[in-house]
Order: sequence, then C-alpha cells, then structure tokens
Amino acid sequence: MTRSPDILKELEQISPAVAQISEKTPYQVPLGYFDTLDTVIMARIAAGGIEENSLLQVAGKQMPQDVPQGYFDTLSDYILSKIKAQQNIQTATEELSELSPLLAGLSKTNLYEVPAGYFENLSDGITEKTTETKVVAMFSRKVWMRYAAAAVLFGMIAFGINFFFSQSTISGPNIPIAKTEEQINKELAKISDEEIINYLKMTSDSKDVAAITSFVDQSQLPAEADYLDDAFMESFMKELEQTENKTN
Amino acid sequence: MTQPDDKELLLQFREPATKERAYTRIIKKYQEKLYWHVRRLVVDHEDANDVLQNMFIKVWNGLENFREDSQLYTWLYRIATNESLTFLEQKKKRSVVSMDDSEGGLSNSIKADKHFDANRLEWKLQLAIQQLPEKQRAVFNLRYYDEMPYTEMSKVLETSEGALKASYHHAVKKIEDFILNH
Repeated sequence: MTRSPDILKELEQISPAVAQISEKTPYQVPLGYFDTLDTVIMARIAAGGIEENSLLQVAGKQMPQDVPQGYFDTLSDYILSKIKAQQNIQTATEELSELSPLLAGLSKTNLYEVPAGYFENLSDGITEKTTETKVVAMFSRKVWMRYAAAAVLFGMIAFGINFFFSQSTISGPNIPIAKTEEQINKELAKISDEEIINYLKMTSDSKDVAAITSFVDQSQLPAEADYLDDAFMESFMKELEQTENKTN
Repeated sequence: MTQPDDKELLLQFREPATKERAYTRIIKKYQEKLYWHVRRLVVDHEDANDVLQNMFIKVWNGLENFREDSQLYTWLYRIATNESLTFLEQKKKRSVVSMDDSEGGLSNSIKADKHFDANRLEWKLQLAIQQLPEKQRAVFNLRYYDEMPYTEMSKVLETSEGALKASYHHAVKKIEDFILNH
C-alpha cells in the first residue's frame, strides 16, 4: 500500500524523523486467521453470541479422523492387556534395560577397595564395643511410684505457690515474697471467694477441678436450699403465706 | 475481486434470505482493516481477536437500526474503537485489582512478542505509541496507519476536526521525542 501524499506531507511538516519510519505494523497474525474469521463470527451469532456453542458448531459433530475397522470390538481387550502388563512387576534388570540399555550393559562390580579381612573381623569388633558399654538397670515399679508421688506433691505445692504469687502481684509489690505455710494459709484466707472463682476461671482446666473435688468431703457441702438468696427466700415465703390466706 | 458496495450489502442484509450471506461479505470486506485498528490499540492478538469478534456480534444486532446518514465503515470504526477502549479500560481495572504492572502492560506485551527487535524503528514506534493516552493513540493510529480524513475521524471519535488535528500534532511530537531519546 502506498502512502497518501497528503498524510506524508503533513507528517513531514510535524516531524521529519517520524515521517521516515516505515508505516508497516510489525505484528504478526496467525496463518489463515482471516480465512476463517467470518465463519467463527457467523457461528457465534447463530449460537446467540455464546463462544463455547459457536466453537462446537464450527467444529461440527463429525470427527475428522477415521476409526480403523473393528477398532471398538478389540478396544476393551487391548485396554485390559495394557493394564495387566502394567501390573506385572518388573525386575530391576528389566527396568534398567528398558530405561537405559547402555547402563544395563555395564558391569556392576564395585570398584572401591575394602581393607583385607574387614568383613571377617567386623562382627567381633562390634561385640567388643557393646560389652564395654555400661548396662543401666531399669527402675523398679516401687521406685517409679515413689517419684510419681513426690511429683504430685510438688505439683500441688507449686499450684498453691503460683496461686499465691499471682494474687500478690495484684495486691501490690510491698508484700514479702518469703512466707511460712501458716502465713500462706493466712493470706489465702483473706482472698475472697469471687477472686478465687475468677482465678480458677482464668487458669484452671478440668484436671484442676477434678483435683479440687477429690479433696472435698461431700458431706460437708451445704444443702441445695442453702444456695438460695435470703431476700429471695423472704419474698417466696410471703408469697406462700398470701396464697395460703387466700385459700383459707 | 471487486469489493461489493456497502449500500448493496445493507439492502441484502435487510432481506432474511440474503441476510447471513450479506453479513459474511461485510465481515470479509472490513475484517482486516478493523483487525489492525483494534490490534494496534490492544497489541495482543488474542485480545484483538476477542474484541473484533464481540464487535461484529454487536454490529449484527445493531445493523438493522443502522441509519445510512453516515458511512458503514465510519460506523464500524467507531464501534471498533469504542470496544477497544472499553476493553483496555477493563483490562486496566483488572490489573489494578491483581496488582499487575498496568502501566507497562502494553509495552511489555510488545517486548514479549517473539519478533520484537529493539533496534528496528517500526518496533520502537510501537513502544512510542503506547506512551500516548488511549484516545490520542486512536487518533494517531487512524491518521498515521489508516490515513483517515479528519472529517471521517471526527465522526468515529465524536471530536471536532480542530481538536483532532491538534491531538495528532502533539502525538507525533511525543513519538518523535520518545524515538530520539530511547
């Protein structure tokens, strides 16, 4: 295509440098693109603009390749024979022959040398080393139990101390750190039920609850009625009296 | 083969019996010109193909209502330009969402072309064109490649001839500057 003289003249006036550049666009178009574009567009229009449908329409349902005669009669047998062949376990040599005949043809003899008599004396050397090793006796059951009991006791003390120190940080830094058992009990007695409940809510788990209830004497627990509030009991009694008076 | 007259094609399009055949001929007549117009704007062939196909489907739906007070080819160029600019706008939004390099996107597409040669002026020109704002790119391409008269271009871009002349002038200067400095 020749360039229009008017366009070129205009361009030369604005920029002689740009006017010298070839007006050919360097992009490539896939081969045969313009030969089939109208067919693709018409198929899309026929399919209501849906691309997937139009592509199927362009392609048509007829497969371009022919199927060899009797192909489907023998297909299942062929597939089964391939599956069986895959199931047969190949030996390492067969596998290597398939993968690389060159490697399979090479000798597998070790090229590295071992000191003379190494394997004959190897077992003796190992036995010597194992007999030299000190044998440590296992703990007896009684000893294990003793350690376990001590651990439980230590845990309980640690729980109490931990609880005490966490309270002491709340109440202030002036409380002395070192305390006797009596002092600890005294301090613990000062802590309100609410604080204990809050502490347990924050830190305890089901194991702590089980540990606490195991120390509690069930007979010493208050009766269910004692949990009721005094004010509630009073109003309840008044209500009861009123209903009784009405019925009488 | 002589190209069929647009008026004749439009008459055939209005007849149900000849509608599809007429439209196929319209596609055949304008596909290459419109493809290159779209391709220069969107750069990637697959994108150009999508835009072009969608554009021709829209034209099929709207051609019944096409009034012959403007030329068919001007109308087709207008739709192709609008579709390309809309496509680029959507692509830019998508790349902002996916944190892609939207600014260098088209330049990168050009550089990724397997035929790209940074030493050839035609390729340098393509990179220079991508530095222009989208509408100015369309102005430059329509004048430089399609050699479209300003009167037609003003119908395609719905802009005054004076504004188009000024836009083209600035575009050429920007391109010259890019080529001389890169």
